[in-house]
Parts: sequence; C-alpha cells; structure tokens
Amino acid sequence: MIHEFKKIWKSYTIGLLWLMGIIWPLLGIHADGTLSFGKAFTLWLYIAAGSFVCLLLYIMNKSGNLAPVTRPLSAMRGKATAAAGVMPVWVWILAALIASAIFPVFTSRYAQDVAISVLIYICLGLGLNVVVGLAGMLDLGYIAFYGVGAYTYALLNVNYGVSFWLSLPVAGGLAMIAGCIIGYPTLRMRGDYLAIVTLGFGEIVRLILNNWMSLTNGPNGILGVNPPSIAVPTFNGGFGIEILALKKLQYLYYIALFLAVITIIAVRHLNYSRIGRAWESIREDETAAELMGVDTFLLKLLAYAMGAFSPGWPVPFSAPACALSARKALPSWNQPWY
Amino acid sequence: MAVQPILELKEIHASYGSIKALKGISLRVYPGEIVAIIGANGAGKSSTLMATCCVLPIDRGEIWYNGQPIHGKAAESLPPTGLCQVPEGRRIFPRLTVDENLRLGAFHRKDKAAVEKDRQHMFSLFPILRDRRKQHGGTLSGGEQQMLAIARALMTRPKLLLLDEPSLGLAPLIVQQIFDIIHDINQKDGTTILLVEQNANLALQAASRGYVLETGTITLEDDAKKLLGNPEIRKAYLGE
Repeated sequence: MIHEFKKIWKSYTIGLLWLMGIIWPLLGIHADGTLSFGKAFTLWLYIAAGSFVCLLLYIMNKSGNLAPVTRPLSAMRGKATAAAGVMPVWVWILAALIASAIFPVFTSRYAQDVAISVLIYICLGLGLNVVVGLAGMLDLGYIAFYGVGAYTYALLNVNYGVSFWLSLPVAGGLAMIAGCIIGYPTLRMRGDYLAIVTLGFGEIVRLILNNWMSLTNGPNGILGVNPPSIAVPTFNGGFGIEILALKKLQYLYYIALFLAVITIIAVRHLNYSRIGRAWESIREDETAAELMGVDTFLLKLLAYAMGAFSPGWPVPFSAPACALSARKALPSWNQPWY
Repeated sequence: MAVQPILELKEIHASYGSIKALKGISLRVYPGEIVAIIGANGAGKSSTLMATCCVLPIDRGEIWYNGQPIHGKAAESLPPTGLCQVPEGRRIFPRLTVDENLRLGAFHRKDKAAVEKDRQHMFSLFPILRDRRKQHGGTLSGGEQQMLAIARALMTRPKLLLLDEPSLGLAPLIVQQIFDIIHDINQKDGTTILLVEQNANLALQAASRGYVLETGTITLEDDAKKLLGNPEIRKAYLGE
C-alpha cells in the first residue's frame, strides 16, 4: 500500500495545487476589485477531502485490499453481460423501437424538441459516414447539403405551396445534385487538399444563403413554412378524406423517427453491399482499387451524392419543427458547421 | 513466331515530372508464357507494369493488349478484359477482411455463381486464406498477404497476370511456395504471366523468357536459360 502511495503522491499533490491556482481566481476575485480567500479555500478543502477518499480507495483496490468486495461485484457484472449477449439482436432493436415509439407520451415538449434534433442529426451523421467513413474523403463542407435540403423545402412551400411529402424526395434530390456539383471539381484532390476545398464550398453556400436577401431573406430566415399534413379518412356524413396538418410536435417526432430508421436501414444495406466494399477499398488504397477494376471517380461521386441525400431529405422537416417549437425561422444557422 | 502476342509494348516513354523513368521500352509477351523482367532498383520495372496498367500515363509509344491498343484507357477498364496486376508491396486492403478483399477482386463480375466457385477455388489453392477469411487483411503475415494479393488478382479471371516483386520481404521458404503457386497458375489455368523481380535467379528459373532492364531501357532479351548462363548477368545480378 505504501508502495502504491509512493508512486502517486507527487502527481496528486501537484494536481491539487494546480486546482487551487484555478479555483482562487474564479471565486476569489470579485467584480468590484476586492479579493477574498475564504470561499475558494473552503471549496478547495471539500474537493481535496473528496479526492483523498477516492485516492485511498484507488490505492486499496490496486494493492488488493478491496478484493472481498470487488470480486463478487465483477462476477455479477460478468454474468449480466453474458446474459445480455445471449439475447438475439432483434430483441434489442425491438426494445429500442418500442422505447422510441412511446417516448413522446411521457415527455415534455422540450424533450421532444431535443429528440427531433437528435433524430435529424442521426441522419446527418449517417450520411457523413458514407463520405468520410466509407469512402475516406474528409468533407468539411458537408453541412451545406443540410442547408440545400432545408431551403429547398422552405422555398418550395412558401412560394409554390408544395407539400411536405412531395418536397421530401425533391429536397433529397437537389442535395444530391449539389453534392455532384461540388464533388465533380473537388474529387481530383486527395486528403488535406480535399478537406480545404470542401471547407471553402461549405462557407460559400452559407454566405450565399445569408446574403441573398431577395431569395432567402438572409439571416432573418423564411417565415410561414407549413407543417406537414396527412390525409385522414373521415366518416361523418359518409366517407371522405380530410387533410390534417400535423401541428403537434409529437407528430413531427414520429416522422423524424421514421426517416431516421429508413436512413439507418438504407445506409446499413449500402455498407455491406458491393458498392460499400468498393468505397472502403478506395479509402484503403485508391491505386490498388483501380487495379482491381473499381471505377474510383464514379464511385467517389456516388459517395458524395448518396452522402448528400441523407442529410438533404430529413431536413425539410426541421423547418416546421423549428417554426413550431421555438417560433424561429428556418434555418437558423446556429447549427454547428461540421 | 507467328502467334500474336497477348501484350506488346512499343517504344514506351514515361516520366515522373521531369524525371524520365522509361526511355523506349519494347517488349512482347506471348500467350501461355512466363516472362521475367529483371533489373536493379530504379531501373523502371515497376513503372513498366504501372504504365501497362494505365496507372502511369505514358508520354510516347503504344501498348497493345489482345490485339487492341490500350494506352490512354482508364485503369479500371482493364481488369474486365483480363489484364490484372498484383502491385508491388502487395497493397491489399488492410482494414477489409480477407473475404472482402477477394470479393473486390471480382468487383466487375456479375456472374455470382462463377464468382463463388472461384472463391472456393482460391480457398483450395491457398488453404490458409480459408482459415483467415474473417480476419482483417492487415493482420496477416507478409507471406499470407502476398497470397491474398495473388488470390485477389486471380478473382478477376485474368488472361494476363502482372506480378510485381512477389518475393519482396518474404522468407526464402515462403518465396519458394509463392513461386510454386505462380508455376501452377501458369500450367494449370494457362494464365500468361509477366513477372518483375529483383531476385533474378528465382525469376529466371521460373520464366521461359527474360528481359533485362537498366535505367529505363531494355538492354538484353533472351531465353531465361540462356540469361541464367550469361556471364554478364551472373556477374551483375546473381552475385558472382
């Protein structure tokens, strides 16, 4: 035990002193210029005491004094993971689906709003994985496609009244075309150079959207985007069909969930297909892939297009989601630029 | 010879920037032979193969394959015609499994049943690959990687196989094994082989004809047996 303590006491002491050096300026220097020590010192003492207990536990564990407690615990954990491993995968998938399906019933608007963002970002991440993960092209302007998808729906809906469902494939398709337009000239680059060029393209799209006042209304965004609607059969006074606008946030949540699930399935299939393998071969060794008969240029362009489709298509939807939840216009560019 | 050569290079010139790598290479490969190109480091051996596969663009000259000019074509259009290369240093796909590597060799082929048959054939040719088929390519040993690279190229059903330094960095025993396999591929499947090697002794023993390459030009062309007996060659390349 002494041996273990000897190994660690120096770095522990230095760490605590360093912490003191950070805590005091934060708590001890006041806005009016006065200095105090009491508050910072008390907090520091609490932290020091707590960390010392942790340190003791750590040392005891290292030197084996805690074995009577840890051994049965780790045995239990081993059993639990073994039991979890026995369950087939579809059980987990089903459990996750059910959990996400009943999620809006028990949660607040705020939680649903966050969940919608999460689902949209799932689609974005999966699309990014096609370009960066599979084909190995570092694309830093990827989020531009998200912008293309979002503005496609917003503009089509506000100016021409195109419905949500029709703009879904249109937005995805336009994002794909944008992907090809950006991809075609940039695919001659490899590695770092590609990253720089794509970063530039992303910035170009952002600047255009932000400054083309007559089309996009600039940083103010586009107002009055309609939420998606569905046709529901009604039976009052005979059979008829009623158009119902999905204004509630939880309907949007379900649509986002649906799109995310579809994207997951599609990307997974793509991943294990012949094309997915070819993308991976390009990532691993482009020349060797060419020697094996892989058309690298075409497949890289395809990766761009497919990668662009998947953020392009869920996004139309973030428009009404935003408009509903925060009354803010689409899209607010507080989204991180990947 | 009245037979039409399967591959013919006519006065090939190629360069990397301002550095001339190939200065007028001409060679012929006839169906069914094993032809060896030997030479020192930087003589242009690998460049010759890369130019043949249209990866390295040529400045001048013509490349004829199967009676058709192929210079200036896209590199990926050649494997479907039966011209495939095992590149220098193996260059398998390290983060793909052995199985995926093999399937990539058959990337351009649509006949699933035949591909599956070839895959099984590869496993019988290289039993070690069957044991390791779920492993990542990068985790294989050097000899296994070389076998994988050859198997991957064979999955394209080549008529003419270009092999670039199959003995590179391998133990002598493994090298012998690889050369036995090369001999088998040539004899049993009738695949024509163009072999580039630094190990001149081994290459010339396996080959029927040989070319000697020096600083971008062919200096000698003869039957492999005669080259092996040539005192100049013995002195320059066989260490005598």
